[in-house]
Amino acid sequence: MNSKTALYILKRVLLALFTVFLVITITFFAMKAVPGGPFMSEKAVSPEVQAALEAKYGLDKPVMEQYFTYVKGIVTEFDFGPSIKQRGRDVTDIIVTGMKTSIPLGVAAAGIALIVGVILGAGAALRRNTVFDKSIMVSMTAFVSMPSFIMGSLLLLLFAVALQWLPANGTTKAGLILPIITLSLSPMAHITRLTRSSMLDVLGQDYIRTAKAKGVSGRKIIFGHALKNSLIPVITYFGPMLAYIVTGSLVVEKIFAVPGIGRTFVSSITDRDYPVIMGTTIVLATLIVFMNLVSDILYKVVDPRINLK
Amino acid sequence: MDLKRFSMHTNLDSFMPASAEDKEYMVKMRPSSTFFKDGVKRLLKDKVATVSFFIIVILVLSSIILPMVWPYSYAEQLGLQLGKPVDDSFNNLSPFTYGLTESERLLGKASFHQIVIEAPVDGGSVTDKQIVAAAQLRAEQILAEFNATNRTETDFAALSSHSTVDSDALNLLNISYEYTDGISHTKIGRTNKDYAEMKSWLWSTTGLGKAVRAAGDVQMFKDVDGFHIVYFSGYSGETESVFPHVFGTDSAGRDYFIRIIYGMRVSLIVGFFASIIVLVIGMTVGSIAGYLGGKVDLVIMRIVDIIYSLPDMLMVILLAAAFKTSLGTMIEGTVFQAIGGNIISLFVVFALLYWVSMARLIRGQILSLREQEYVLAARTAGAKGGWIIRKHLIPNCISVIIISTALQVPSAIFTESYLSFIGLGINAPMPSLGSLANDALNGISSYPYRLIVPAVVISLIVLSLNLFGDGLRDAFDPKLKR
Repeated sequence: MNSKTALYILKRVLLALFTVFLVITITFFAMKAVPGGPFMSEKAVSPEVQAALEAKYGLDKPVMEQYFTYVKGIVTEFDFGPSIKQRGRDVTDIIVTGMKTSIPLGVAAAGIALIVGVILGAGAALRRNTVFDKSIMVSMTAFVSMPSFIMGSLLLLLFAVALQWLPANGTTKAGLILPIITLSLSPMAHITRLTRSSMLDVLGQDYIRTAKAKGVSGRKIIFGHALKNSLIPVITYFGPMLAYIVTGSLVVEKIFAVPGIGRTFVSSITDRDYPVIMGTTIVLATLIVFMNLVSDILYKVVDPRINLK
Repeated sequence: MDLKRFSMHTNLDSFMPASAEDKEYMVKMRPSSTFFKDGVKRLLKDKVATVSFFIIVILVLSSIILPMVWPYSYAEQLGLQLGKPVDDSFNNLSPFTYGLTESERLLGKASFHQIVIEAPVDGGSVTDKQIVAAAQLRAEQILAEFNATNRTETDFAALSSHSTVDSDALNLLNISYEYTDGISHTKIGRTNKDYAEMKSWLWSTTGLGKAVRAAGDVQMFKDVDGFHIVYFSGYSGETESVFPHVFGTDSAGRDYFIRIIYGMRVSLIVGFFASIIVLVIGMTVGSIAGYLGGKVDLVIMRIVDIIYSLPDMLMVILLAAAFKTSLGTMIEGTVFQAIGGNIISLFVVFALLYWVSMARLIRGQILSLREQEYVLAARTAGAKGGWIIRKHLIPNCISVIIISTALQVPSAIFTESYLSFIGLGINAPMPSLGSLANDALNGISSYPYRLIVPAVVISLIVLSLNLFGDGLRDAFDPKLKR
């Protein structure tokens, strides 16, 4: 790693940190801008109770002071304050509980997308312009342009309602199969397309021809030379993939009733549980920003040919 | 002939008289073609793009025309009628079925069954109570027999208290038993087809009927020891055609087909206007940054970088959730209220976040274009920056602009339907494809088509717009071809 790379990494890390800070700020002030505040509920509350509630949650203080307290709480203690609608629960607690379900879900989806996508993409590239290649590319185009909530609902309809092979409710282990498949299809399609095009690119390179001329076996060329190099562009997709899985999990967890962070987020929006909305947005956004950072840096480090500006 | 390169031999073929074909080629030069014509020609060669284009045109036209001609509206709850209790027979209808009042209109207003027994009154007067009572008694016996031998829908014998007696001749007593109520609907069913089946069943079971078209259909004409039995059944009044509910109705009794069309319309409008907003902002910012360069460019591009690194979907959700309430109160009473706070907030979100990639793209184009000689020429001629951007730079990167705007539409539609699906989209009762899909999830096992239809429509829109955008790119900017 030379000084240029180090400088690049430093710049990217700073930008990421700034982005996270910006996300916190936007989230905080966007939620503060909502008229009425969180206690404007259906029940009429007497002014004293209202004041007491606001004092309890620190809402009577000036906005800037609230802001600094909030940022300080997040940075020092990973504390997002208490939930308003779920009495006695901290937002941090709610997020951690949700994450325990959502992280395995997301990791499984990403893993499947990666493995199947690379296999299909490489297969399609090696059998270029055959029926196999064309049918894969057509179905992948369909998967890419199909929104996750449509995909999830249709899978639910097909496998849980019509065929009744899998449970529709995501609270059990078997019930997680459908959400995982739903989440993995679109990233899989992207990875397939990426792998196919980069594999085609690599297969046309001189060193592949040299290896062939030297009499290296086909399998060794594919696994030893072509595949490894054609996987580099896939790294760039890690960040967008995580972003897709995070946003996709919001609707997928809603559709399949998975008790994860996505469903928490969606229900907190309908419940107007502002601290939960803020906390979840910040955590998920940070996750995405850092995954983008990692995949960008990894990409530049893995492939020394890439020119760093 | 054997012709060696670099030899001084001349190719004699070149001096042969021109054939007719050659002459024609020389006379008729290839007609000149503009950039636009060229692009359209290339686009038409691309079958996928052409088909997608026609699908888009069909969808757009139907979303414009169908709401005008369709007899139902997206918000009209068909079961709700002024001054009447809610008729929930209109809720959750399956495709091509009808609600109660609609089937009455279809089949004729009052459905009734009537038996008129003409009783001869021998040697007496029709006003004689005893004779009338005797005739009635006999009529009831005949009815009981009739009920036992003929399967009719109504047990007329049980209706003797409802019988009416009158006479139209001095020696003839008409005792009619009428049965008029709603039972026939449920028995006969609500569709045209069911009605036809029922009619033929009636005809076959009471087969000796003589067709006399009176108030209803005369099903039977029979003589039992001097008593004439005339059995009417059917639907009196005018029948009218009722426009079918192609996809049935939803749980609130609203025609589902028109809701789909409206949802499509909302999606297309949102997609179109959002991309226009993105285009205007991105083009302005991008061209200014690209043309001015230097510090302005640096600052703008840093802002673009930061917005670019924000996780867009999460920010969209957050801002939509925040704007949903605040904008709703702000726009009350203005023209925007009709559009709805959520759609406005969606546009605001697009204006805030989605312009960055467009700005980047246009800046890159303008950066290279502004070094061209014609820009220098314009500048020496005294043209101002705005003029140069408008008249020279933008027209020269118009293909890039058109293509990325076209590709922006499906992404905006996608975002809108996603937000509607999680409940942050358009206000009820205005439907959107996303909210329709969301509503359909609740009744997924009973009414799967209610999910499938919006799902298919949304996928069709997004897919065909994407494919068309790809085709546009290939046709108008072959350099970008993947």
